[in-house]
Amino acid sequence: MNPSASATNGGPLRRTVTITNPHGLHLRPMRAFVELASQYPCNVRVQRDQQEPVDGKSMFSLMLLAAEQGTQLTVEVDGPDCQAALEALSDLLANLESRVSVEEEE
Amino acid sequence: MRMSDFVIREAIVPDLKATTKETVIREMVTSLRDAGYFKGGQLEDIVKAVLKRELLGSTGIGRSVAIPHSKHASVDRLVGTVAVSKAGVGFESLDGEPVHVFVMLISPQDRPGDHLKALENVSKSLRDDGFVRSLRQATSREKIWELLDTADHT
Repeated sequence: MNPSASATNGGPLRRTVTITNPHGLHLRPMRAFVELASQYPCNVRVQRDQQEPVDGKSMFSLMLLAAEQGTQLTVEVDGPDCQAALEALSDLLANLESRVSVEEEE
Repeated sequence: MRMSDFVIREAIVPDLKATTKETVIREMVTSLRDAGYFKGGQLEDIVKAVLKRELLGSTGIGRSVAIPHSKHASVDRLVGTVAVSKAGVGFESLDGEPVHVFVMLISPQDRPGDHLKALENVSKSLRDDGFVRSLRQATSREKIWELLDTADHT
């Protein structure tokens, strides 16, 4: 089963991203993720390893991931506009440094 | 990691007097200082660091909970405290609602893993609205500690 085939069927689509930020997926990028995910009508889930996927539109859910540097997270989407959501959200996770660059300098 | 691993029992604030973001943070940092968790002279510096973090985006995560935090060189392990405001405090929270339960985390510079584990732990306990309600109704430090301890063991 390839991704485009499942897209035709309306999902779910998945992409796995490695967290490279030395601080991991901490509160601020988490909030950015929730705010971005909430702009899309589709369902968004995030999965760490083989754990139960969590709701990508909830801070409380994302906090359960405790995703430190090196963790692989899989973003899973289904529903309307989910391809665009997958692109935007996996891009955010893959580029936490550039999204939250000014903090933590001291 | 459990809540009781980083929440300092003697620094719990069961009934915050503060009514603004800045004064809540000051009252919580003062409580940690009074419990002996960092040197007095660093009070202002830590307050400033936590406030600076808030300027980058509120740590109010919704459902009446906020997690003000900072790294600071004056601690050699993650220390935290819990404070409850009966009246609620405007905190520019994600859901726009006032915050009643605050969990403060002060981390050493080089331990991002512990901070993330603490967040996981806070969520495990506080995602239960009934638990948050119990915390809001608690009237003493001991009662709050007892609730946290019970949550740790369920």
